[in-house]
Formats: sequence, C-alpha cells, structure tokens
Amino acid sequence: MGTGGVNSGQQQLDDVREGDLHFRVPAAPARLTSLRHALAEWAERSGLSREDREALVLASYEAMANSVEHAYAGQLQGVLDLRAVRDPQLGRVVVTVTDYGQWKQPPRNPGTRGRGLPLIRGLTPTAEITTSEQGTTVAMSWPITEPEH
Amino acid sequence: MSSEAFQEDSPGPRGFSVDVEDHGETVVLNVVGEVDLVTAPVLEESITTVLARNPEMVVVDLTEVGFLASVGMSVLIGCNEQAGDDTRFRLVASGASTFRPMELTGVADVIQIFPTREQAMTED
Repeated sequence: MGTGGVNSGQQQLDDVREGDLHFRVPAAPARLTSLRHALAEWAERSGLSREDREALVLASYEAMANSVEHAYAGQLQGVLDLRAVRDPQLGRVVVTVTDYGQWKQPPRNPGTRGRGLPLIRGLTPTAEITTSEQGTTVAMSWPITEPEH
Repeated sequence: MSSEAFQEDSPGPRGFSVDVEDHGETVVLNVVGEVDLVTAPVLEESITTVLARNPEMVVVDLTEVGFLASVGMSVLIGCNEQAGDDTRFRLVASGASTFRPMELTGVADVIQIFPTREQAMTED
C-alpha cells in the first residue's frame, strides 16, 4: 500500500506505487488539515532536509487552499487530488495538486490576500502551474538530499 | 451552557488556542497550534477583539505556532492595518515554520517581528 497510518476518511487510491502518496478528497478547508498532516508524515521518510520538508508541507497546503478558495468558489463541492512521489532516479520529490475547477487569475492588487502563489514560488525551486478547461495542476519539486532510510 | 460545554470539550480545531494576557498597557496574545484556513478566523476574531479596546501595544506571540499558512499572514496584515497609529502591533516569531514564510511573503517588511516576547514588549 501507499502510505500507512493515515485514515481520516480520505480516499486512498489503488494505483499508487509503493512509497508514494495519493489522496482524492472533497475540496473543503477541514479536509486540508488532515491531508497536510498525512503529507508531513510521508515527507518524514522522503529523504528531504527538515527545511525542505517544512517548505513542501506549506507550499502543498497553499496549492490546496488555492483550489478550495478559488477553483470552486461558488460551487457546492469539487474534489482535489494530492500526489506526492519520491523519484530516486531523478533525485527529487514531486508534489502535485490538481483541481477540476475554474482557474482564477490573481487580481493585480490582491490587497491583504493573494500571498499563496508568491509563497509557493518562494518555497520550491520549481513550481509549474498548468491550467486547462478541465482544471489546474500545480507541480512542485524538491531535491533529495539524504539517502533512503 | 451547551455552547460552553462544547468549547470545553473541543478547544478549537486541532487544539488551537489564543490566550489573552494583559500586561498594563500591553496586551499579549499567546497563540498555540496551527494557523490554517480553519483556525485563521479564530485568530482574527481574537486579535480584532483586543484591538477594539485600543491598547497601547498588542503583541501576538507565535512562538508556539508550528504552521502558518498565508491565510494567517493575511489576518496579521489586516490586523496591523486595523491597529493604525494608535496601537503598536508586534509579532514574536522565529524559525522555519513562522518567520521564514513571513520573510518570503514580505510580511516581515510591514510588521515588526521580534525573536522573543521580552524584546517585543520592551524594545522601542
């Protein structure tokens, strides 16, 4: 199975490689909290430095919060996918957050909000945001610095 | 009665709490837990309530905060604006989970942040 020790009602999908993590959950604030904790637990075994683990958890949370707040604004409910993959060949950990809602262009003057995307960009060396009519994917990666244990 | 009992049983989401301590003209808010989409409104209400009393200084101590999402930083920025010229608004934060994200988003350029509560309360 994917990651053990986590079952807060999220759906753990079957097509997940050993050691990887994939959750599909309703895009609701309360669900993001337990998802973040699951991701933090997974990151413990990822070979990332402590600083990168903290960055990964925060950046991933911001991407998920973006989906909850923007992609599905005004809709009753959508789902989001959180995937975390450890790729020893490429020496990196990749987290992707996918939603299936409408991409909302950040306003030019976001006022007191709108710190999510700048924060994501500051926390990961590579943030790729792909939008289509089907939804939005945010892909972020961090280099593995420690050997697997 | 029932709402009080409910709060006793569940002290905010995930053990999140904000304790308000009066130190003369300075009010310290000690925040414990994780600040995210669920808990940020609790933090906002606590600070707003204190600011309404117009104290000379408000210190929000984030030393025991293990996670600070951007929604929480937006709350702090909004409260700093609300404090205006009448109330000095300061934060206590250090380390990767609170200070670093506030540096990255520029919050640290807008709000005074101190590494310890003592410094926040005593420095000019």
